[in-house]
Amino acid sequence: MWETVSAAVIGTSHRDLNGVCQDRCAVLCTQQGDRQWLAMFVADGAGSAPMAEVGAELAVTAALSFVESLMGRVEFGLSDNLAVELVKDVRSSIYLEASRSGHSARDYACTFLGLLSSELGTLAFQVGDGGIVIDSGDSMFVAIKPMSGIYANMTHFVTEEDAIDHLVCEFFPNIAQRAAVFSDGIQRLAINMDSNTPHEPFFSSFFDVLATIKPEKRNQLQGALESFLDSDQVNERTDDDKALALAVLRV
Amino acid sequence: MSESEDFDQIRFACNDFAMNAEPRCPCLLLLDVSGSMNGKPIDELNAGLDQFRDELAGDSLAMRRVEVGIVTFGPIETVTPFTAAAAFSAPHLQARGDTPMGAAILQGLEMLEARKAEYKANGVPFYRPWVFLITDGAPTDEWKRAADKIREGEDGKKFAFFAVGVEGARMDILQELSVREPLKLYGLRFRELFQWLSASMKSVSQSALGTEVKLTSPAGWASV
Repeated sequence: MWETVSAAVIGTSHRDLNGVCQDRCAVLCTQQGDRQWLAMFVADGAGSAPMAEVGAELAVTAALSFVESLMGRVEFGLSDNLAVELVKDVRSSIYLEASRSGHSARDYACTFLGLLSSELGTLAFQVGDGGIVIDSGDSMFVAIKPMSGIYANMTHFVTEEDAIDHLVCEFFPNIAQRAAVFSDGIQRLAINMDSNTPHEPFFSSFFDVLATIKPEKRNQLQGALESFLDSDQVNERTDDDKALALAVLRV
Repeated sequence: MSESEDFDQIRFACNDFAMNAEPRCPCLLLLDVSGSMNGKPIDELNAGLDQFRDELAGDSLAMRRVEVGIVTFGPIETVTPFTAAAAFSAPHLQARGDTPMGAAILQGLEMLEARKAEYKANGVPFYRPWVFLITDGAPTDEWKRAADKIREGEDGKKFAFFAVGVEGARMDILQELSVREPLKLYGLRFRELFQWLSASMKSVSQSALGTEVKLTSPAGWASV
């Protein structure tokens, strides 16, 4: 089973502006029969979209329900198709809410990143910026090349008409021993941008704690991650919202 | 909550290396603070260091990438262990003592090697370090070993060593110490020197790792 923790914390610029954190994240450890599954999701609401935090929340919630229903299936493949199916569910959930409340889907604009892993392998997928780092036993790597729009400060959102065209998927044949999914607020700290490699010391400080945590201390993890994400040392480096989901496989 | 319970709290803590994935650009200053530097020269050197700090502070990339270390001689003292430019405050140096330049170079280069080992251990890439020696005299100790180390380091591209002679410096000895041509400071133009140094550090810190940066001419403050 994986030891997990996740948290989303408002950035200093948003705190000053409107006090709303537009990042969301979730981790789920679940089972399909005897097989254990890890699911991790992060959505980063667009600063320019008025309902962005609702969009991010809907995205993560829809993804979790997708995984829960997936566990009822006898068989499914870890493929691009599965990621497309999941992202379509995320989109329907947002489009439904938009039409129900008289908004446009664009008002809910958010990025979306996901990871599914079991002994069958690991599927990573994302629309927009943010990052996914995986260690399947040999070394830590960035699962998907960072993406941006035509301009440096432009990204893609799961709410766009052609979101599926911007969905990038990667399949890895091994189970994720250690994994992290995070929004772009963390990207600058966690990735060596020149070489597109994970900055290992950053992740090690979290993975080491998760790998050795005692059961009675688990309830402290979330608070500890929130404190870290809201610490001066993080806020000095980024004023953006930041979401970070982490998992370490323990045998 | 008792102190021991508090100590047991789960914390996610990151050191500076874990928090900053930027490649580092170390700059080691070996500064002569012997008695002969007393008065105007040491004042101007201090003003130069202040300027150095301010110029680095004005460049956000340099702030994240440049690290400064300072060893003074005589006597030999590590005034500033390698420190991120963001946390660097210029020391106020006082002139006294003799000129144990040879031993100071060796100590500085050891400090540099130790820092490089830390970069490696923490997975932080780094640029070729710069070592900058400034003196107004001649070594009062044995300096041949230091010269060998400098030659070795330059040959192995382990660092770039620059020697600057202030009025009164034994340029002939600097010539033997340094593989690169030593520079002769005009008067007490320490501020111009440090302006040039910070501009050079900025160029290096903006360059791709492993590429040679073309240096601007030091003509504003020194002659070769």
